[in-house]
Amino acid sequence: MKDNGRRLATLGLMVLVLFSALLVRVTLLGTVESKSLTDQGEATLRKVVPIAATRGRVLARDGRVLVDNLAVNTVHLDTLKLPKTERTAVLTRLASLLDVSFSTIESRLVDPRNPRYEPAGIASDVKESAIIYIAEHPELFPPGAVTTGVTWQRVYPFGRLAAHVLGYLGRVNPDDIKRQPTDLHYQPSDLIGRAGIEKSFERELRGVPGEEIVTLDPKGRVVASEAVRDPVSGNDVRLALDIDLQKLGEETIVQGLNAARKNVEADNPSVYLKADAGALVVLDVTTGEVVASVSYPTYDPAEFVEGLSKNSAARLNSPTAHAPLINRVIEGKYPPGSTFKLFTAIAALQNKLITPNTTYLDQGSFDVEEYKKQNIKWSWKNAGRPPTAFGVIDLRNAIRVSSDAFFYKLGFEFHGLGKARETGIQNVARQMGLGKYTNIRLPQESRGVIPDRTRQELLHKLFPTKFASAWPTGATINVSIGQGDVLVTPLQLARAYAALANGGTVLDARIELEVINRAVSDQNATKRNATRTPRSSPNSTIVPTTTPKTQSTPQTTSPPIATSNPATSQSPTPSTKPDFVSALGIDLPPQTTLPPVSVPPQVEGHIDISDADRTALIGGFRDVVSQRGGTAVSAFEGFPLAKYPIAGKTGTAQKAGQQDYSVFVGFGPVPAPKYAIAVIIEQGGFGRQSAALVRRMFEGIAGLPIGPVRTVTQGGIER
Amino acid sequence: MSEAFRPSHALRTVGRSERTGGGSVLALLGSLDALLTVAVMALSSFGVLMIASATRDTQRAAGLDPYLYLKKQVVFVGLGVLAMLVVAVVDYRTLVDISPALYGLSMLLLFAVFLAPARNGAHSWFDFGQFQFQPSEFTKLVVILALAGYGSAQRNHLDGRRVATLVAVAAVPIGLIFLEPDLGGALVVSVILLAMLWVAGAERRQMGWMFALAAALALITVKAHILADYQIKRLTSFVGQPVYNVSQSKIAIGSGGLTGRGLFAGAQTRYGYVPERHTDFIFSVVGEQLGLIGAALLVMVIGLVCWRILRIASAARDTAGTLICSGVLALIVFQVFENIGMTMQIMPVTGIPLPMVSYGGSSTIMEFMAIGLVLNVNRHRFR
Repeated sequence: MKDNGRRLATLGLMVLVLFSALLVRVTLLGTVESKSLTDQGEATLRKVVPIAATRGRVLARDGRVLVDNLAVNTVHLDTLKLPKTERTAVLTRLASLLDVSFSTIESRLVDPRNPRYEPAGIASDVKESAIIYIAEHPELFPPGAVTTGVTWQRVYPFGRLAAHVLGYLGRVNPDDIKRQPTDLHYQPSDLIGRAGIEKSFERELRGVPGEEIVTLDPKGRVVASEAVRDPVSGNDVRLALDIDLQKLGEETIVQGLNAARKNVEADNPSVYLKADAGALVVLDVTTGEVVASVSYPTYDPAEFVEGLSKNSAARLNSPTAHAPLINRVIEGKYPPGSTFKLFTAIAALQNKLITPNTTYLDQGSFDVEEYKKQNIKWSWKNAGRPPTAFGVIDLRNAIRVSSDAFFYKLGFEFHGLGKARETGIQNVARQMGLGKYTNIRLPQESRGVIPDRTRQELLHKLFPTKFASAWPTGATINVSIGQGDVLVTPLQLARAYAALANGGTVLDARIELEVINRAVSDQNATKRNATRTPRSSPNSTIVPTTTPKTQSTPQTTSPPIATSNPATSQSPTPSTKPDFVSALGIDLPPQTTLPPVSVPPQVEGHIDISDADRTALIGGFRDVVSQRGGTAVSAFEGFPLAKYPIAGKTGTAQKAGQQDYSVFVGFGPVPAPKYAIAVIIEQGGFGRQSAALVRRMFEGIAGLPIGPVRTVTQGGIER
Repeated sequence: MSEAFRPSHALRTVGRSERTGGGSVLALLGSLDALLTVAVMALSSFGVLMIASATRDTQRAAGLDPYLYLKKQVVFVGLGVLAMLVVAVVDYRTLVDISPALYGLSMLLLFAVFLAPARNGAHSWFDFGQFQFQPSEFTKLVVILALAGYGSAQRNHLDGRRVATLVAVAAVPIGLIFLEPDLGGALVVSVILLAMLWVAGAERRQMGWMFALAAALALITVKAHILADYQIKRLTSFVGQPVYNVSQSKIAIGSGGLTGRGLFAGAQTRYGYVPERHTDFIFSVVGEQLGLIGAALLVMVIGLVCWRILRIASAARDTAGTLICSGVLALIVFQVFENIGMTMQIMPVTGIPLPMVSYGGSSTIMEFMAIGLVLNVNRHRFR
């Protein structure tokens, strides 16, 4: 063997070198590089994920659930984890399994609302069998890319009922996240209230999401999880809405619009009325509670649950749809027409321009001498061709027949009082809540418009070419019958008449009755499920405090509605753990930091009306529906007014370029009214048509047989 | 013969007991190199444990038998030990004598395997349902025997023709294995050839030519696009950005730190982030679960095995014995270095298992047979 040993030694040396290299390398990895490699591993291995809090429910007045949550299966797809070659195949399989079109899946994948780098939701409310099929066929649906889960979805047990009040949810956008306090932990995939109660009570309903750290396997499946923070359920909101009355209202609006469409224009009998939209609101005059709120056309909130489809969005936004998403009760700004005469009358009485006994000779029109001299051909006429002359009338009769001339003259007289006192009508209108918010806790409320000289001058300053600076006599005359620029919401109108009905107290409109603290109610449920106290008892789960919003300062010191102020009473919610709980070692669920709310009637203001004046006014409003020549008599034909006395006022409002708007506000039962109801039908013709809708509502309220809404054609001409 | 590799007294003692022991199994066991045998048994037992640890949780998650791989590997090790003893009994010179026949059979199998259906895109296995047979593994042993036989025929000098013949003997299986394709297997046989040529006494100049030839072949393979893109990517991945397997394997070893996450723990390997963790990437399981200490101990135990093989090589009674041991040493060292180096991104990625530790039937049995050859050489060094 030639130098065999030396060659073996060389071999041995090489072995030594190679093994040393391995040892050096493994030492480096296990020490110096260990930290960064561990971090690198953790980054893919572990993920912090939010645990959604169950959103609070929305309840009706009687506790029945209007908006609930339903656990549904979801399928998500992460295209980044899907090999390009398999994309089409997997998408096709998903489409057929989930019964959605290929293009729908494609569009959901590129939906900009999806957070990037997160799996896109491609289907929810998926059948259990499909979920099992996906789990059992990883070769068809790569588990890393196709994931299934469970999520909570909004369900509406009453369908479209009160859709405008309830509102809907939408995916948060980056602006929302920026705007929300960071302690609310909004995630890009979260939903947020976009309309209605869902929006205005977002903070209460949402709860606080929890957080957990999950360990994932390479296919993206969760193999372990560890809760960091438990979620806190959102609170329930109980509304003032009465389901039965709401149902009746929605039915009535549809019937009423149909009935109105059978009518023709007053000046042009060959043209039918359009009557394509309307609003109806029922207010409790003693509390300001909104018992029913109807806006038509409406929409199905369920359409928003999985994100509004392109088709639905196009349909809802189409001009022929008449803006179904608008809540006309609070957002709609309408000329009130003759219903405004209430404010002119109160202002005239307060300013001693008239007494209830003052009479006026109505010759069918009212002329302004100064305009005559200037050869300006403006004139103010009663409705009808020729204009109806009502003869000698006092206030009560002027209201009954809705004499324009009577109120024109009052407007003219106010104008003549000079700049300091000419706004008497406007002042009363504002005192009774027009031109300002009703403070209802719903988004997008309109303030309406009560025009006067100051506003006119301001407009002129802002837009000199568009608005004249002058506030002429005619402007106040127009205001006196609710025309000109006067605009009100149906809710404002109902609220103002409620103030007359309840003796002069202007109340904030309330859509919610209380916010029910879920965390506390859960605790109560476990702690004393055997002796659960009823919801209404003072020791129950209801958590009354004041509203978080800024209260408007009451303008009166004598709220006529007796309510104890719960804000000052003992709150049953302990802000910290009570001692006995700690002593017993009971583990309380995490307390919510959400401000619990139960809103007592909030007094906004007060209007002073003397008893004599009030008698005359309410007498006039009663005559409107009951006495011969009353503008709404035909609408109330056959209604047992003796048993259930109702008062009200019609309005037939002119709107440039459109058919007249039909308005009616009613309240009853007189003399101690409980409800005020306002109805507006866009392009619905005479106010008496709306009166027919109010009549039907009162039939329901009074427990009478409920008849269909009739087309009201006969009866006196009125404006 | 160098001083360093002179047989020790311990070896003589073991050898003596063998001579007095006759043909009984006890005597056979007594005749084996104690340290090598113990080390090999320890390695394979450790391997079984690590395989169980690498596969239990993923198997369970998939609803399969959590200890399926453990059970199968126990069977493989049992068969391997049996094969090792059988190989150790028959005198290696007899094996060398019949090596031309074995070589012929082995080449036949290598041709035949191309007719078998491809698995993972390679014609490397005969599929018998529950078990698969990989002929290239046994080819490695046959090549060692054949090269030992031809290389020892002329003791003192290897002329160019002989070197060429030796190269040709190895080239046929290298080419066939390469075509399967099993790049790693081809490389292993090439390294065996080089090591055995060196020990057989090839001139330095001849060795230089060999390396030049190897380099040229490598260049041609790459340039002529004989290798698939993925193969090139894997081969070159030890510089620069690691491929997924290697990146996950490094994370596993790194996150093991000094003492490891503990047996059956460690998310990287437990949840299956490291692919092939029970076969080619078993070292990353050791690294993550037992840490630097466990990994270093493993390398050192394998080092012990290599040391014993070297000692037996130098104490062999003839050149054939020395050459056999050198071939087996090359087989084991190259596989260990390539395999462990690959998991730590200092070697390219090839499908080479970690000897006696990785899961696998053919390779485990082949490795035990290789150790059997070494024990054989040790047993027969006085006869």
